[in-house]
Parts: sequence; C-alpha cells; structure tokens
Amino acid sequence: MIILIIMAFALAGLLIYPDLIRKQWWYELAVTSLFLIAGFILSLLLYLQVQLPYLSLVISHFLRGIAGQ
Amino acid sequence: MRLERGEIPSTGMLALLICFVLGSSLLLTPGGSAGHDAWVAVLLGLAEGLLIAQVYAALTTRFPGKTLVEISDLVYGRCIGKIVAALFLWYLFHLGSLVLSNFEEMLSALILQNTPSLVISLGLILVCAYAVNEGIEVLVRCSYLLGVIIFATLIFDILAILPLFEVNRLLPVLDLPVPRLLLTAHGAASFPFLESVSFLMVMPFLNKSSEAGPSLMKGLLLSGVILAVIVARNSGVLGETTKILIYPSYQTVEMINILDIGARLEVLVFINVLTMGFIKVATLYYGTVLGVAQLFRLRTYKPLVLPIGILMLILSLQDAPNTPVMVDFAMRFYPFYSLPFQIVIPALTLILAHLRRPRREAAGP
Repeated sequence: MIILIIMAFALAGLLIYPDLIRKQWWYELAVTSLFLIAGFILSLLLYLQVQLPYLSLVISHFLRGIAGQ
Repeated sequence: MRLERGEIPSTGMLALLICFVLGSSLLLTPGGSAGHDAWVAVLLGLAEGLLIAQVYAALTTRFPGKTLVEISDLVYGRCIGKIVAALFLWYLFHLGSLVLSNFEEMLSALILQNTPSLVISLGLILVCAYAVNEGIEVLVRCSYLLGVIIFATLIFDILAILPLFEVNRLLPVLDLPVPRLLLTAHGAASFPFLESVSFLMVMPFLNKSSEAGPSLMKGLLLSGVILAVIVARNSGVLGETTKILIYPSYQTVEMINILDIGARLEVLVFINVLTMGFIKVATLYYGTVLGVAQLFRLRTYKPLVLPIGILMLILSLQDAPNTPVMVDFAMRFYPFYSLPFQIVIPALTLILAHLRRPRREAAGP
C-alpha cells in the first residue's frame, strides 16, 4: 500500500512539475509542493492508522461548547 | 491577472445552479424532520435563500468580474482580506469534501457494500479533477447535458409514482409549531439554497455581469420548486416514515412498479445523484482551486488541481466515522456551522463595501 501511495504522489508530481520547471514558475512550484506534501503526510498518517479527529465531531463539539450544552 | 479565461452565458449559469442545488438534496432531502410539512419547510427555506441571495447578486454587480477572494482584498485590505478569503475557501473545500463523503456513504450503503470507500471517492474526484482542469466552460456544458437527463428522469419518476401518491399524507398542513418549522426551514435554506454562496467564485465569469442577479434568482426559484415537488412526492408516498429515513427519494422510487415489468427503478435515483453530485463536487472543487490560486497570486490555477483534489479526498474520508454521525451533523449542526460563511461574510463584505466607497470617492482619484 505504501508503494501505491508513493507511486500516486510521484505520478502527480510528474504531471505537474515538468511544465512549471519549463516555464520557470518557481513560486507556483513552491505553493503546489506545499499542498502536495500536506497531502502526502496526511495519506501516510491515514495509512499508518494514526487516530486523526473526525471533522464533523470536532465541529459538533465546538458548536455544543458555544451553545453551552 | 485573470486566471480563468472562459466565459459563461446566463443560461449556462442557470443550468449549473439548478444541478448544483439539486446535487446532494436529491440524496439527503432537506426539511425531512418536518415530516409531512417538509415541503412547506423547503418553500420557506427557498424564501430565505432568495432573500440572502440578493446579497450575493449585489456583491457581483458591485464588483463585476471579481470573485469573493478578490473582493475581500479590496474591501478589507490585504491582510484581513486574505484571512476572510481563507475562511471562505475553507468552507468551499470542506463542503466539497462533505458532499463527496455523502455520495460515498450512499453508494457503499446501498449498492457497493464491499468496495472500499477510498475507491468510490477516488473515482468521483478524478472525474471532477478532469472537469476542473478544463475550466468553468466545460462544467457548464456538462450541466446542460446532465441537467436534461436528470429533468427527464425526475419527470418520469414523479409520473410513475403517482398511483401510490396520497394527498391525505400531506395533511394537515402547518401542523408543526412555528419555531420548529422556522428552524427546519433555516436548515433547508442553509442546505442547499445558501450553498449557492459558492457561485461568488463562478458568477464573475458571466459574459454579461448584469445578468448575475436575475440568473441566481431564477436558478434558486426553479430548483426550489423542483425540490419542493420531490419532497412532497416523498411525503405523499411514504407518509411520516420520511422522518426516519436517511435516503427517502431512494425508498420512494424503489416502490415504483409498472405492470410488474418496470420495477427496480431506483437505479434512476443513482443516475440523478451521481450526475448531480459530480456537478456539485466539481463546482466546489473549482471554486476552491481558483480561490487558492488567487489567494497566493499564482499565474495559473491548474497545478493546484491535483493536490487540492487529494486533500479533498482525504478530508472526505475523515469527515465522519459513519452515516448516522454524518446525517446528524448535516441536520443539527450544519445550519449553524455554515451561518458565518453563507450569511455573515457576504453581508459584512457588502456593508463594508458600501461604507468604504464614499470615503474613497471623497479622497478623490
């Protein structure tokens, strides 16, 4: 599975980067890399079954807190 | 720099808006907790939606050709503008992941029980990524084509279920206490009518910006009426059980039986839901990608399509642990969670735009 994740992100990089490097759009490359790295780290965390909080539950708790329930 | 070179006609926006509003509301019909008064709640929600949509239309008319991200920069200044824009983009992104998660939950609960949720979501997000990469014009053309198919299947569904429809199941009208009805109506306004706030990222690309307001109103009105008819159909066929069902449209269409040969027509619901779902996810995805590119002042939004799609996919898997939690969030918490993004940010932006303009004019060129 980890190989699949690495291959998927490598493929994404192959689709995105050559055009940006050819045009020398370094800023665009940096911003894109930021999002791609965030995605890669989150994918790894999910694969490693790290307990990440469910967003709906977090928002529900927050709204309950505001309502004082 | 204009990141989107495409232009859309007002009829295109109308088609896109109708598909967008009907998107997940064909799946999780709004106002369900009002039982047989659900259609009234939908119509009241539509009225609220039309009222607030005036703010969206006024913003687009006041700042022609500008998305909410660019408008925030002008109205709040560079620093606060970026924070406001980031909050709005978070909402589009999260809503996209929620819709994706809804479709994945429905498909894995009803037909693809043994398929991993990642595979279902990945299929949908890849199609959306392709459409987003091609630009707004492609999305609009898709909505023309898919809108016609959906409209035809909806009419067929309604006609085929008529023998099982009983008007008595819709009576007595306005049986609910007014505060509860109004709360349900607000729920119906926030999902799906006020989700049209995401069109603040689409309306700037209308070829005639003066038609933004009328197109928005017409689109909301038409989709609201269609939705009210669908909700009334569900209540008229299923009665009070619509309150406890997660997917009432599916259960309704499942009951169609034309002379014992036209049965198992619930596949029509899947066609509707998948096509409309594609349009809804793709529109939110497009808004997020374009907005992030404008926020970071990139020269193109295209390199962001895949990374943001991956993040949306991951978030959709991490939205809710199961269907009941997702439905509970959508019905009880979403109307309040979405309030700042759907009403406060656009209204505040419009008010500040009105207040700041005279000062600028007084300062002179």
